[in-house]
Amino acid sequence: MPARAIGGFLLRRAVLLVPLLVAVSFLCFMLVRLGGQDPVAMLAGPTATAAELEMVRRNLALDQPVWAQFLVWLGKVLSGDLGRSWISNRPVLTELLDRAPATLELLLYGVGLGALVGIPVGLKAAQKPDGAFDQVSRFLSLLGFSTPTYWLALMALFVFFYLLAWAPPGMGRISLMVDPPPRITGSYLWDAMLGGQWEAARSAAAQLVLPVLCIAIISAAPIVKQTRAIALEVLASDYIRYARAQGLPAGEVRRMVLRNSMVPVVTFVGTELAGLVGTTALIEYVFAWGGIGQFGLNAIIQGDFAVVQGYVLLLALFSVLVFLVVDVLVMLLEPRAVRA
Amino acid sequence: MSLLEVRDLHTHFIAYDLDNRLRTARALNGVSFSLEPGRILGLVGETGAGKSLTALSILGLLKPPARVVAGQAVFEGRDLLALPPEELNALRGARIGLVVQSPKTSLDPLARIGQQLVRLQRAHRPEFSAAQAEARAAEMLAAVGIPDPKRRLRAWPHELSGGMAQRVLIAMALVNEPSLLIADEPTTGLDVTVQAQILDLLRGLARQRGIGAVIITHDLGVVAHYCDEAAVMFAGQVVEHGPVSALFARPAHPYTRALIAATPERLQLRAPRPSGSPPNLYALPEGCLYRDRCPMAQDVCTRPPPDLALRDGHAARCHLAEAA
Repeated sequence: MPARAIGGFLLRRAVLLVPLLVAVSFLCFMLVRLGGQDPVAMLAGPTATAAELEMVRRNLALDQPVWAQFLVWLGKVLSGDLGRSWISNRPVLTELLDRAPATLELLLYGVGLGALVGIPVGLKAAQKPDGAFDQVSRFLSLLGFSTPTYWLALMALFVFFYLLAWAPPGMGRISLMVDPPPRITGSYLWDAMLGGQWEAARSAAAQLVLPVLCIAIISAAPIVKQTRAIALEVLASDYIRYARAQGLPAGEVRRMVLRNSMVPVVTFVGTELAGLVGTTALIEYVFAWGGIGQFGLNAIIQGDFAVVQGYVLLLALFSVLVFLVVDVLVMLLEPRAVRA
Repeated sequence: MSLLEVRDLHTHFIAYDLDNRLRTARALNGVSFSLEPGRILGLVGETGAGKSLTALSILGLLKPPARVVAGQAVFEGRDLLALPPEELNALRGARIGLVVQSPKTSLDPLARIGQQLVRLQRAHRPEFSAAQAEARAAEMLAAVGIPDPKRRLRAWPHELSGGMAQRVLIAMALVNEPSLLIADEPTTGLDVTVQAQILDLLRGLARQRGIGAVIITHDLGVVAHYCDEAAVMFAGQVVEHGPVSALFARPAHPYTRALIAATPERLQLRAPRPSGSPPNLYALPEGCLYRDRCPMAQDVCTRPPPDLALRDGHAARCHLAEAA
């Protein structure tokens, strides 16, 4: 079954992806366009004459109707040209791809750690609702929910760098005293380890600790809450009741609960992962991480159109990919999800 | 010796209400019945009479705030209500098989039918090898009338119809060769034709294997057609019990008579129907619990009724049973 079913599924999904991405790109194109800033005036500078303004306008195809502008942009995007940043004058795609691994690394470790802690805690809390463990985990989860992201990041730096000096300063992905390793994957940690540069690897890992912990805390709170709710629902199901009525040993019943909870939990963690890309931007800002989040945020502040569009498009693509992976995982876990 | 003898079983729901007062709902008020090996008992009554609660109480599957406060349930010489949880767990699914009313949602959705049957056998008989257990699982599927059992072992629960799923549940209930089978509304939600097939199957298998069975139902027709004995429940008591032939020929309790008069095939337009609802379990009246709804109620009914023995092992909990 699976290999062929999953192959067919991926193919169908890939076809559906095209209109979805066109729609998303249209939306972000229009949103940026409705922002009300005139890129021509910004580009041409305060001393430009009317003729110069007109020329810039024509060069950028901004004299054409909006739908035509969109088609021009879309055509270029399809050929891999996301335009140039008006600030650095480098291609947007290069800028984004340079920074993407840094963000991805942060996000995957953070949410991964959040899930690794959150799922078992949620399952344990569901075993005895309103028990001591449940009460404590609910309180902590609520605390995690209601803590503002940037405040958490600032406090983490204040306590662990400033007061205790356990952590390095929040100044990027590697210590200024250490040479970054040559780029292979784009992750300093992995590149350093692959190249055997242990000093660089140690420094990269040390820089990761605080921001990863922040994201882990932020993602674990909803994962605990959701896992607990899912497990409670499974525990109240007919099949668990029947399993107990048939005298299945407690360990066997626990395994059933775990397996049956996993499908919705995996789906939820996927949504978290896709949703936290935006939140990560704030963490990146505080830790001067230099990933696409910080880059995108700066672009928004500075009105760097092409970068903002590229950033939003990349986030949309990331979400779509995450959901694709989630769907494949669900197919592997859940026999009912497989269509003949 | 009886296979199962339930004596004076009392189950209460004890909980605090919104005003933080301790309140007790007396759901079972002295249920007594017995079952001989190889016989089929129909436990019948209206919704809320305590039929399923009786089964859950016996099997130790009550959840708080429900709890057994008094009584015995002696199965093969041991009182189930006094057994430590692990010993009771070892009996459930092994010596006592259970069939429930929602077969499709009662199977683990993430395990194949075969896996579930194997898992159940190996939980209770660790000496079985996986291959042995699988062979027995296939035999069992064949016994409950599932065609092509070897292939069906690989089926997922969602691929089964309701009737098929109920057959699988019966196979699961019987796979460890129990001596007692409890079937709680085994045909609810199935087509009428499938209902008859399932009940025929249950009775056939019970007879063939010498299993004593309790069939819980609200359908007197099921009791009349498929059971040897009947116990009629009302407000957490067995108000009348006896062999099916005697009970249907000479119903002694006014409630039984009202129930029989209300069965569709006999329903006449002016026949007295069992009207009204069960009594308030928080404030049960003294004396006969059926008094308020009984057309024959007299002064004597304010005193607790005796379990009055009639002919042929037939008995009714009513002051007026003999007069009837």
